[in-house]
Amino acid sequence: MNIAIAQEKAPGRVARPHKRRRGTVDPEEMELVAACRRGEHRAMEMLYHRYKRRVFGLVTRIAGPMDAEEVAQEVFVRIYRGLTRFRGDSALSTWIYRLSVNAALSHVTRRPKPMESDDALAAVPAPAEPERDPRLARRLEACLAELPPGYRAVLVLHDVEGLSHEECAGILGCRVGTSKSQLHKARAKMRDLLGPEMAAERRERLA
Amino acid sequence: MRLVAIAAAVSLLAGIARADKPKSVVERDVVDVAPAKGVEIDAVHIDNRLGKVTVKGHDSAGVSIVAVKRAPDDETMDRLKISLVPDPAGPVHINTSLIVVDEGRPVKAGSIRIDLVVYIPRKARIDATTWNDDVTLADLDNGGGVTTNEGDIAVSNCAGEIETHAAQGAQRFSEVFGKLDAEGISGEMDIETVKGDRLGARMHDGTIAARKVRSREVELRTTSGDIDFDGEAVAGGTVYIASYSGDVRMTFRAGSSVRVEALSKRGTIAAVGIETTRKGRRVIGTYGGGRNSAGVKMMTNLGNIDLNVRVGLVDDTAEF
Amino acid sequence: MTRCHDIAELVTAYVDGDLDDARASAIRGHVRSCSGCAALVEAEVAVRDAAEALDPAIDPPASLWDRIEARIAKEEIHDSRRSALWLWWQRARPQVFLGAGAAAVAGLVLAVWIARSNEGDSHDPTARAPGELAAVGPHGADGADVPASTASTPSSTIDEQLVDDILRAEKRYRDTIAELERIAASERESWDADLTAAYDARIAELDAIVRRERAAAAGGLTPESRDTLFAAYRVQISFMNEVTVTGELLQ
Repeated sequence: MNIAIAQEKAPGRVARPHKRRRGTVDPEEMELVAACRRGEHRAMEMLYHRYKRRVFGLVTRIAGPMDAEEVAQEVFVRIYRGLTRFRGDSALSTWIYRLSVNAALSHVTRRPKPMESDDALAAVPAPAEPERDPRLARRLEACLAELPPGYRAVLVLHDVEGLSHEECAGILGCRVGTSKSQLHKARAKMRDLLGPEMAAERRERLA
Repeated sequence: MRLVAIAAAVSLLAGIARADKPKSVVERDVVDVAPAKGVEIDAVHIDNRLGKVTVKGHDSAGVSIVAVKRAPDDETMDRLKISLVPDPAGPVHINTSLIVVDEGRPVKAGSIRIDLVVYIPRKARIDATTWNDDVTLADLDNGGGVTTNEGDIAVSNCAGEIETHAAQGAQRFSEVFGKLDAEGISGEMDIETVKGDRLGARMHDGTIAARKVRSREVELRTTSGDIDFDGEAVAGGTVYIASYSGDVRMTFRAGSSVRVEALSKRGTIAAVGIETTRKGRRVIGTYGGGRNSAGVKMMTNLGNIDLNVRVGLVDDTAEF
Repeated sequence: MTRCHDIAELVTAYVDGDLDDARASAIRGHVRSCSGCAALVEAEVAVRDAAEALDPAIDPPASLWDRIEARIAKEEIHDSRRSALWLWWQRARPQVFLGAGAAAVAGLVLAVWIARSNEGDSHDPTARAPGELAAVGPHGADGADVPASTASTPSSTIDEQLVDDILRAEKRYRDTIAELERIAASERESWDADLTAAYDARIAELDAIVRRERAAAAGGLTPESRDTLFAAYRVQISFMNEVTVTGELLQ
């Protein structure tokens, strides 16, 4: 039975245009950045609202829901402080991603706190659109805390955020090959954590 | 002609008129230091954190200091000091400072400056330190050390053991004989006509370009930044050029025999003028079969390697 | 012949469409007749799909902006308080900018230096866990490069500019070391045990020297104290550069 299913569902990269992010120069955004640099409070607040969901999502998944608010705060403070040095040679979003990942990883490695799976499940907000298999997705989210931080970062950047390995490597400061092998290990570990029930759930749904 | 003369006269007058309201006070001091009787000045230490330092060798036994000082007003100018500490044992210490006083106004950033041009005996060894300003050395026979944070460094026509350290900036070396070890964090290094025992150059994030090199031991290294080397492979000598992510390009003129090993972990290796064999990611080549080969090693992790071997010496290196 | 072991190694590349046609087709063929590997592939797809199903964006609580605003306001106050400290120090009649042999300036000045430079500091040598990509903080404090010129306001004094310069210089060294740490972490896999041990031992020594120099510098802002601290950084950078670029210990 499983063999038949494997034949039907030939795996391959699924196009997910809604998650692709390309680095482009946005003149309106550059003007916003310039205003922030001048210390204009309103501009700083606008920038915050523009990026708050992406930053918070990223740090929640990497540093955990308990610490997400503290880390997100740190990220935005670093953004405003660092804007004077941002030269615009990479996309603003890439730069902000890098700050977010850095801050989340430093936070995690400085204070490794094993999270209780139950608490984590309760703390995670309901997904905005219940796509595909919400139960498995939520269980995966809860298990993120049990991945080593490096694996967690790649899994979140590549699969959750939808970035390419080149983009991941640029954000994490590693080679593309390293990003690929880290993702492989992250998925393997996640397969272990989610257990054999996972395959059973999938078969159930497809049958 | 007359028109030109009038134009010149007009601009001169305008210049004088402007001089009525100086934005800053400029003073030029010349100090001559004669060595103590029977003692030779064999070392000079210059520490100037307020401006540039230029050091030139001369044939006299003493030290001459030409200092150009800039300050916003006379009162501040009085606080700019150049102190000289002649040491009975030989070394001369030259320091610059700004004295802070109770009633003095806070001094605005960038409003004061002391630039030094110092002439020292050719065989005195120099040690020069600046903060964010340039250091230039010329015509010295006994080497020296240069330390700066963000100044550019230029060394020409010097012999001996030379060592440089800079955090950021350009470093240029021309006609250096002996041992040269240049180190920087970011910036660029340009090296031309170096011969002697050793050429060592290290940049973290910057390029190294070296031409007309004939040193027994060559070691060029960057973390990121391309390296270009054009020189002779000295018999029995070693050349080690390595970068983490930069390209490594080498042209060497083989007078004698050479054994080359090139390794690029993720890039390409191209070799011209030399027979090579590939061993995994390593390319090994030999030129000539003499016993006293020069050993050349080229390495980069993420960059490409280009190797070019030319037979015979270049004409303008004939003086080597 | 494709073996089950190969599938395990390549499954991620396979499901992400990263494999060349020849190998992908070989794997497809193997999976058709091997239930174990078929299950593995399914599991990998399930994990990927589950992760992709998560919405990357999450709404933060409304209080987050308030907390950020408060932090920014606090930083601005901190900067203006420094000016008051500087004025006090000015009246204390110290001597600055002397060359070798200068007297120490009020420790107050250095307290400001050390306090400020610790703020944006994500590089902590004691927190190093070699071998783990994540444990080494990527880039410096915030991933941005050090600017070529300080943005000093027109009204800043030379002493304020000096402190800014020193902080910037120190940050440049520390960012460089952090960058080299990242590279070393990814290069370690290819080092042999001897090199790794020698490298770790030397790094521990060099870190200790840097820490000592930083502590010593807190006693007075003399050119020598910053000279020896920066020299210590340079030695460390030179060592790290040597080992990570060449993969061997040359000295």
